[in-house]
Amino acid sequence: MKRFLCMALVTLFSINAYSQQKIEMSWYGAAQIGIEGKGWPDSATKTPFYRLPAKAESMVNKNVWQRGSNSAGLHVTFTTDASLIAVRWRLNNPSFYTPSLSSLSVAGMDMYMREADKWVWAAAKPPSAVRPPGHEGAFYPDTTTTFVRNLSKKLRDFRLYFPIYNGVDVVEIGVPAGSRIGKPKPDGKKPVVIYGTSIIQGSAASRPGMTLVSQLNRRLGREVINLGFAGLCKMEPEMAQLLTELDPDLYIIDCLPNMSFAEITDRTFDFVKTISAARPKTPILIVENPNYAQTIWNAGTRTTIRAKNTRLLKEYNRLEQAGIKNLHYFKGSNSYGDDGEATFDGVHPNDLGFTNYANALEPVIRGLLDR
Amino acid sequence: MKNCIVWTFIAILSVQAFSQQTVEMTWHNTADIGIGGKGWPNSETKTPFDRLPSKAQKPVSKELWERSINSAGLYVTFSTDAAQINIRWKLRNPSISTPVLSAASVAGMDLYVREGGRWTWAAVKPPNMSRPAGSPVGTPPVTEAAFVQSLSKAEREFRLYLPLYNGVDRVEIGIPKEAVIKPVPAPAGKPIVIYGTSIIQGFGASRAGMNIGSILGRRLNREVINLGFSGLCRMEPELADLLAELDPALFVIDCLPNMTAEEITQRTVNFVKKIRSARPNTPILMVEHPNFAHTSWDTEARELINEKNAAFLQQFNKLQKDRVAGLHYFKGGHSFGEGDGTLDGVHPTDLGYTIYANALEPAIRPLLGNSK
Repeated sequence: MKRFLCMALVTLFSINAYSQQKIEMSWYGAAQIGIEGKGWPDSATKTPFYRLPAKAESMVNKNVWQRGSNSAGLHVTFTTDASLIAVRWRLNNPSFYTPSLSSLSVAGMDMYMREADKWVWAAAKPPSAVRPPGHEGAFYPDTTTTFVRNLSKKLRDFRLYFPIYNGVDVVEIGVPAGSRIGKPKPDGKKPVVIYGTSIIQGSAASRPGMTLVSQLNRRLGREVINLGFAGLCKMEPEMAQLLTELDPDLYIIDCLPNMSFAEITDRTFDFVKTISAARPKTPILIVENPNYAQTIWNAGTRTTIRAKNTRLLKEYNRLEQAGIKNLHYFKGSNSYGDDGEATFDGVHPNDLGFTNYANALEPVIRGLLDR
Repeated sequence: MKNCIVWTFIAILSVQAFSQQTVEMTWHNTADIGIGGKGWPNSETKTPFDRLPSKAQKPVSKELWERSINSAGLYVTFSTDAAQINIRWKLRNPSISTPVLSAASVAGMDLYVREGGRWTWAAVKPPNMSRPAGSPVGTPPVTEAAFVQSLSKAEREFRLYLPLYNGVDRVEIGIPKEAVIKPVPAPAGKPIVIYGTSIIQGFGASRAGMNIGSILGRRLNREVINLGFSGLCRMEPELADLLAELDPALFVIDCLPNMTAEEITQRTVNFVKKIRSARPNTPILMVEHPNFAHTSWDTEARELINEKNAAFLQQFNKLQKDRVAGLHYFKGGHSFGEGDGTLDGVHPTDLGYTIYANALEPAIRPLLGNSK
């Protein structure tokens, strides 16, 4: 049991009332257990829950920086023999739902459990929207709730996925005092990095574990770094610079829905060349714009998407002609399936669409990781 | 243009600014076009948007009556040559979202278009998040939104699904003044009636068109009557009386998640027999409890489900022994897939509803074989 943390962190003891019975709980900071799905180590980020390094604040535009504090794709994996697991998380943004996205989807937490070597869903909880009495001004929901209970005494691995469209500044795992908690052995593999749009960030997943990135994370058994920035994936030179700092087994670039025709033509070549120059041996998968649901009947959307993809392919061919190696191209025609049912709003996949997208990407990614 | 209705109701002309251009719109009341997915005609329901007949208010519980005002499964099918379609809807209830369901899911509208003979998704809109300006607290929102724009000039069929977890007082379709709108007759064949729980009502679908009844309706090209009552599907005798009034091609009974094993044992035989005696020739599909997502590791939940299904199968066998004909049994198992198909373990997401439809569709199709 060498991996069990004799946690050198501040363990808060508190008496909580759970299901009418008082259980003495020990609380462990998720940051001390270790946040996964991060490109940069805690030493380089402003808080353990930021997706971009602190220095990026002066490099990227303000909106990208703010999106970088959304915890999409971040998670913590831990082992425990606890019979009950509670989670506390405090959001860093007062906005926790939209007309189209529930607060579970925007700012909830989603827990999986490893059962017979497979990650299976365990529990999902929305943030608490209850304002403390007398609270005025901006309200940052601070939620403490039980995720699973009445588990038989046995060591199990759990993975907790953080909010998709909000960020956190506190995440704590609570277990009954006396339970063991530790970190499972790392998978020992380099991560996959995905740079993308709201679709990659996970807009419209019903809960954080259902984004494309989280699904691939479980299926591939390795970290997948979610660098999805809703509305802001535009292949700027500074983003290429940041990506070169990472050392993944694969880069996936999936930006087209956020880019104009001119941007695709003007930026793709330099963006990919910068990354490839820094990481010549790392494969780069360049992903086309997916077919949106309405392309079945909307000729205008269909034409726009085709024109974007034609431009991307042209840049891809230019890169190949320039002798850039290890480039791969993913056709977008069937990313969401073909029946038009797999999105919430035409553009953003629902859980069905994210599953279809993962089904389409997984074999291609596996092929590139096995090389 | 023989079907073209000279609308006898008040078509309100208004000038609306949508996307910087001013289009003069004519508004058409959907109640006059015809509401699909209803078990009882407008003449028997309190409003055109009620799922149960007015007379049901007395026998059923207050909670169930309130759920029946939710417009889950109701829709309007129309054809139009309009380049733009706007929808205006007035909700009945000020509650439009929950922590786990978006406003689009609870109280939004979802539009499909028929393309190449197949229903395909077109547009979804959530309701307004606030009550009308100047109205008192508790007034439900009124929403007006452009659903599709800049369509090429062609006559197309559309289907608009009404909210899953709220009701509507009024739903109007706005099209440019020169465009024509017509009702589309219901598809041939008697409807399918599904009596069920929140899973049937559509809890967890991201939009109104993704509940299982709506998915099956499109796939089977048949009207599906959604009698899903969240938390309240309990096979009470008064519900059997109501179901017996309908004359569908198939009854689907999918109540187990809301019932205790004891209720299942006590009520199933009488419930099914009551329907059977009123409708001797209509097939009845009795659906088991599905495996919930957490049953792979939660042995207590698994045992409870197994217990309910055992009680249900026993009642099914009893009915068979009593020579009640035309009964069919659907095994629950992985109806929602093997783990990732739900929002909260119990309620399917769009993924889970699709998997459930994939499982139910082949069981339902053969039962419709001889019904016209």
